[in-house]
Amino acid sequence: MDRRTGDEWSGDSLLLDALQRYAQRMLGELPCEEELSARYRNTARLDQMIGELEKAWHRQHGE
Amino acid sequence: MEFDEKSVKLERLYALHKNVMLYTAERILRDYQLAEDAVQKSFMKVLDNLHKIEDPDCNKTRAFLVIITRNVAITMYNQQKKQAVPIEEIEQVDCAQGLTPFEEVASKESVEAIAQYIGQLDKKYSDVLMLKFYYQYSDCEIADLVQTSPENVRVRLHRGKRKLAALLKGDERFNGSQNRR
Repeated sequence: MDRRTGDEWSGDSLLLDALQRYAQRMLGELPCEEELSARYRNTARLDQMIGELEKAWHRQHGE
Repeated sequence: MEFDEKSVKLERLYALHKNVMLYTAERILRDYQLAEDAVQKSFMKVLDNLHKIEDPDCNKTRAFLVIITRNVAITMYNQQKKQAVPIEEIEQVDCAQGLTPFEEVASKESVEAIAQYIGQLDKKYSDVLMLKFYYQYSDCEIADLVQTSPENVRVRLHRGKRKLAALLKGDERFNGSQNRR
């Protein structure tokens, strides 16, 4: 049992290994980055949205 | 974390994973511009948890971003369809169900089998199991990340654990009564 959470499943090494493996499988089912890059060649609008989000976040946190 | 460090990390995350996030959102929303909106919303959540991301360039981070984007996109899809996502009913919790079934397993070869069973769960269960046990987020943090209530997170965790335990119980490799000598 994980003493911090009181959860018997927390810290179970076999579960952690299985979750890590599941994450790999999940990513393996997605197209490779090369294919994705070809698919999303023009992300100018999103680039701008993320740039503005970052600026707003820094302003909000007084940085 | 300093301003520059945060900016560099965010830019790195974006450059490395924006395409897979777009793909994940577009598959759900079937609309590129909405998918862009979903990626932006996902990054709003990522910004609040930037300090928890150790390495932008690893599969653990990539899977985390896919999970967050999937949940943001599903919420947007439901809002578009005006489908209220029902708060799941709270079930009676059987104390014995909290006991780990993994301690019965004799071999590390079973990792692959457990991963397969996790993959068979509904994503709403596997996602919270991942966020709770692999990424070690609190129930409240998970609620914010997947846009639901902490109560609903606890219900999903309980149900996910119960469903996974049931799948393992049906497999003789994990059935303690058959394996125990």
